[in-house]
Amino acid sequence: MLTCIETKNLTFHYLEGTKMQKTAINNVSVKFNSYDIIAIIGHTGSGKSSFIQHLNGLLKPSLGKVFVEGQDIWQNKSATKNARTKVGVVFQHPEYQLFEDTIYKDIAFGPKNMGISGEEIDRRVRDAAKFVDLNESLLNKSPFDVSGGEKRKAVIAGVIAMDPNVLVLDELTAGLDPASRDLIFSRIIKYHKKRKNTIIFTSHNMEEVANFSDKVLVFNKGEVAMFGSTLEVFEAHEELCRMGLSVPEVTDIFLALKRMDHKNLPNCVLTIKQAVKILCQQNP
Amino acid sequence: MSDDFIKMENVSFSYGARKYEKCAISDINLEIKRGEFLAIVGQNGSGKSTIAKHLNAMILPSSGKVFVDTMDTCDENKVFEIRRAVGLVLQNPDNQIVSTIVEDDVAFGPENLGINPEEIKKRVYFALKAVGMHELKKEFVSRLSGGQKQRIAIAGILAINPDCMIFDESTAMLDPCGREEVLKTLLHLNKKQGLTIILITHFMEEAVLADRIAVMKGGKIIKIGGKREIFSDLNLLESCHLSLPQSARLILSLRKNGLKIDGNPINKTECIDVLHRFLSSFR
Repeated sequence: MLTCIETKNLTFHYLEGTKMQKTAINNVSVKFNSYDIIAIIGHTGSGKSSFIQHLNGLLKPSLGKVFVEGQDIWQNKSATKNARTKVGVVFQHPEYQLFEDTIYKDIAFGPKNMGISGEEIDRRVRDAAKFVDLNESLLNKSPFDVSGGEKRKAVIAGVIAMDPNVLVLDELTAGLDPASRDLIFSRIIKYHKKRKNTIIFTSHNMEEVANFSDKVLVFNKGEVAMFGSTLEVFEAHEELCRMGLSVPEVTDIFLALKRMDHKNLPNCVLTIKQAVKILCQQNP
Repeated sequence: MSDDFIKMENVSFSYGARKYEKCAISDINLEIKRGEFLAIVGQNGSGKSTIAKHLNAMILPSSGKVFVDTMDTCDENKVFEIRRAVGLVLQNPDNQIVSTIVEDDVAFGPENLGINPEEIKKRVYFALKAVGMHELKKEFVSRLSGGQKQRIAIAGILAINPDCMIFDESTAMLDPCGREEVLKTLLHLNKKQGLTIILITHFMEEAVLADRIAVMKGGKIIKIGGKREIFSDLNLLESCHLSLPQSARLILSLRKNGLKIDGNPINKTECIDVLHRFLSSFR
């Protein structure tokens, strides 16, 4: 299997060399395979966002290395620039990522910087807007005149328009209504299948993590606490709870039922779909 | 004193100055009783935050009237009193915190109201106790987790002694633990201290905590009622981009697959109970 991103002993200190120095991530070595969907979870302040900002070279490691498609991204300037077009990041607070005077220009900014021109940009902007279900009539509005959820959609469209090999989504659905959450995720999964890209997302919504990820990386206090298949990670529910995390509501329900002496239920049920299958089998 | 703490009468509002601009909310009529816990749900851009901003005179209606404790929000002389009565907690605590030390931040509100130092000390103490953050009063705000910061933001509002608090997606950025902390605090304030609570949320699992739920669509409140009433109206939920709490979705999917399950649970405890009975029935 191809490795798309690898970090070796990645360490990062904020305010390095000052009295206030604080280690945000400590000695993180992980490998992400191409075409996987990887969820990153962890307590607020556990280092998820700092980690993500290393993947396209927005932060420079204090120690250790980051490789994108086998290339050390800090080897030279062109390697860094390369990483930025290959790895597209949607950040947590959309208002910090929007700056143009219309949403259209904002979405067009990424592809323009990649040297794409004219009609191709227009096509990408309109496709990306459609992708996130952003009404065409909003394209000429200022990104600061629309609602919080619409801002978020505009930011996502801007990154989708760059069509990166690795799509990184930091708290993608925070602030979106349930239908938009489902819609954007199902479109991203569809896009992922067609485009065969790698998706890395952080989320505090365990249901989302259980439904969509192949693998889960758990951060705790700046270090990797677990990295395994989604099932493996949620099976360790007690450990997750100790780290201030939780499991999906349906997982919790089945754990409680198991404790109530329904012994033949499996240890870990992740999704409603699985739950339905299991209970239908139990039904005489 | 009127029983309705908040009253919105035929309120419409448009962010643009031009007449043809679409209204963010239109013709809203809403009454909220003192001590009530109301959740407001609805898709992005449906007008939830616009309602919230009307309730402490951050914006004034383009037409119609808003009354807070019988005070008209358009009355300039009452603005300070209205903002004291109704506190707003935003999505991102970083936008709401002004000082570097926890207790200084909580004291900021009462200081601005010109309250005497002894009284401020008392208020800061009670506010930090109420959110369970008293031990950290000397801590740097920058060292706190998201959930802790949000609780400081809440304490900052409590210190100005409000009658009502509005949480505008205040849990959206928090991890599961932080969310639980904030929800516990909010329930405590409502049940033990009698504060009126308005919770704007995209999490249906949070909305079921409220006494009543208002559902918004396209700038209007299209339904308001008890949680069971709202969550039994599947067509309404679908048309408004909403979902059921996960427990209710599970039971619904089971029924769709032909299992005969009694009851309509809308939270985890009820769901466990229903499934326990179901599984025990064919032992």
